[in-house]
Amino acid sequence: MSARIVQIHYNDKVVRQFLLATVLWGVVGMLVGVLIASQLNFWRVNFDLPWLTFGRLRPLHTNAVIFAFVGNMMFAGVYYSTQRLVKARLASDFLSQLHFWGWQLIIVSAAITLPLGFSRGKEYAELIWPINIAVAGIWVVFAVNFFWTLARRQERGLYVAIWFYIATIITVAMLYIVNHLSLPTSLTHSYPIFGGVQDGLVQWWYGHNAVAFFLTTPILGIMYYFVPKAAERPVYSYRLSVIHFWSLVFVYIWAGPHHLLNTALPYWLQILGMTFSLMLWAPSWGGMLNGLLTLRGAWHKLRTEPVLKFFAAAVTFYGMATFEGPLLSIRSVNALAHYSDWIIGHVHAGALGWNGFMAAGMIYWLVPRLWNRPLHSTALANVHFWLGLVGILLYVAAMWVSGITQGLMLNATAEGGTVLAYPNFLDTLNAIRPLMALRIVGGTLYLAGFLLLGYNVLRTIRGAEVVDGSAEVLVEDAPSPRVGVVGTFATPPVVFSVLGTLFACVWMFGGDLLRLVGLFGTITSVIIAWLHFETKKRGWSDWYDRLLLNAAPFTVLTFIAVAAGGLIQIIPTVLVNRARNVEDRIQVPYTPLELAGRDLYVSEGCYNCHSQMIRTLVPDVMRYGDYSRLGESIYDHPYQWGSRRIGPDLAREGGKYPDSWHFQHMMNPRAISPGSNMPNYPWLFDTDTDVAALPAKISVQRTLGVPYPEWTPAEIQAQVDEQAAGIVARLRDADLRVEPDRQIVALIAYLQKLGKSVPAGGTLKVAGSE
Amino acid sequence: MFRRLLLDNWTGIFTLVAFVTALSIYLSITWRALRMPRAQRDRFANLPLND
Repeated sequence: MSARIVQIHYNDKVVRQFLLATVLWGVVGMLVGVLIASQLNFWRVNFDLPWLTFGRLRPLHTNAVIFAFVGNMMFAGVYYSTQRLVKARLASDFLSQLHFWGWQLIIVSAAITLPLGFSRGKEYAELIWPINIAVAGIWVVFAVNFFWTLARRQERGLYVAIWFYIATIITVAMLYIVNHLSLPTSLTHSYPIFGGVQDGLVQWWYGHNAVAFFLTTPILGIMYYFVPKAAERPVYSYRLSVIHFWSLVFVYIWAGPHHLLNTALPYWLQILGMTFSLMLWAPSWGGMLNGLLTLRGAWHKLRTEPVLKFFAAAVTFYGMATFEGPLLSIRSVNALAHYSDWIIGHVHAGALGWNGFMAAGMIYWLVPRLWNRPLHSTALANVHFWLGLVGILLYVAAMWVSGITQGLMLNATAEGGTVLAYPNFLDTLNAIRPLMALRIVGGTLYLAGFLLLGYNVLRTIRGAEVVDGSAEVLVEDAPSPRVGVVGTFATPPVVFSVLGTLFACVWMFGGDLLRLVGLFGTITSVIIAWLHFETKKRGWSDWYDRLLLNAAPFTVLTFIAVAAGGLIQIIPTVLVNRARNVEDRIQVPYTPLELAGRDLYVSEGCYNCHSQMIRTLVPDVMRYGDYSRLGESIYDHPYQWGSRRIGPDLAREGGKYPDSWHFQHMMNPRAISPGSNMPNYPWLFDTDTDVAALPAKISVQRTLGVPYPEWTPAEIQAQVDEQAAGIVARLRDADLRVEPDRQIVALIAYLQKLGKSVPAGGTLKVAGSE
Repeated sequence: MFRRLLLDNWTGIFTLVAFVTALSIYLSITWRALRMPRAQRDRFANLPLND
């Protein structure tokens, strides 16, 4: 065996680029956050302008913070730490630059299209299909650059941070592609291929795991690299980090249905989501403790080192948020908290406390090293920390109180539980206004702290000379033990796992005889696996040790672990949407004018404030009407169940009020509902409905399984004209005038259709109801 | 058969099976991690500090 010394020059240029982009987009994302928080308290801040309304800006805020701020931060951290952990320069300078500029172009495209109202109508998945393709493409560039670098590595062992990065790359790709599968109707519009409950489940499988694998796993990898670096001591327990990784990756992916508790989702899926959410307590707190205890013996440095302050606070917020998440996933707690500000407080504890503070700590640690100059002002960094901390605490505390207050008020009953204590939704909204105002203060403080970071960074790097890291590595020419395809899969651990899973599926899905075979096979597989493990322990251990040195098989097995949870949940629900599986009530497809109105509802982002899901809870039914059935949104592409009730639920809005009510309400909500914080929508009265797009849209809906007949464009136009004329006539009777081709007419048609389902065949009991 | 998955109560057993599966993987990994040799642990834990 021979050895030689190799000089490695790291590509830190791309790290600097991503770092500066993090600062820029962080400011933008938080600024929009403060603006939309203000809009909720002061409706005039919507300025009666379509591109500045809450419904369009809220997706901009969430996408900017997740994909622009945390995304850029993640790429900076991943690229910096990976090169040093595997002792190799990034594989391709071209791919690195393509990654950086491609990602920035995507962000700019999102910042333009979202305020213009181009939206897919699914949270954190609003971007239109051409941008979706660009995201997938750039993610592949990232993956190729990353894995190519791993293939060229000089350090054979893969540190746990690299595991987290691998899990991030493959899982985000899987989630993003599945949740963005759409059929385009034009260059800027598409319908998701999933509909109703199926779309809801896929959305939250994606949405929850965007939190898990975009906002958590890569940042945990960054934690496992940067916290030991800053504390100048190794991670507290490497063993704990191994358990943390595998249990987190395996458990997280199953928890998505906790976003749909007490809804029309099948009961077993709700319980599955709740159970796995509760199980997340263990790995999350294991990781938090591992991070905090890494600071053992270095706590005194927190007095002077802002980097460690940020890291310690960030990991603490990770612990708080991951304690709160499982708590909120308990069905009875969720009955109170869901659709309320408590959830908003929870996600901001994660985004501002965990992600934001990890980003700040990493930036303060990296900038002096990448620009070869001490930080301009440590005092300013300390001020940033305290401003940010006070800001978050104000924000989160305000949202906790707000959420619990509104949840209690919405669920409160009087007169022995026979009537609602607060029948007027606006009473519950106006009760939380002071708390919503406090949120603006907290958010502004946090933004002010981050602006100080921006100033500090600019002053540090102005006129500084950039420096790229380098290292000398002793390279041994001996080949490392390889696993190979056969060695990956044809091994006892994998074979027994596959056998057990297959037999379990036969047990679950098979007929009477097959169920017996499946049960017998499952039990036999477990017993034989256990006996084999007991007699051949060495073989199992050697296989795992070889796996840790081989990135490709490790990646494949991680993918299987995360895919399993998704498939078991999604495959059954893919068939749920078939009309023959639906009982009790079934949706009537929208008329062309109603479909046009629905697209406006999606485009304006109404789902950001209004749900369309009456839960199987007594207060929900008392307030909004009979609970929503699984079949009542079966043809909704995308589903619009919503996740927050800033306004009331609209699932059974149709027929509740006359057309004139909706007309006046959309013109000026306060004329109808004094105290409302809803924006005015004056442009709906001046802009024409895009009827010309309807034939293509209906054709795509038909392809997706919505039972539309083969209508010609002329027939579609005739139906639109007839229905619009009826609405205009009824408005005229109320002394209101509008042209029939205006958007407000289509929107009224849609709103009046909500909840107008018909009985379906069969008398089976509805799943999820008890 | 999928209709059963939507409507039958017995499908609650999914939760139990999934829980047992996850728990067995968790325990296996824990067992494996606890038996990791000290030299290997120390080498991996010090990787970030060996720039």
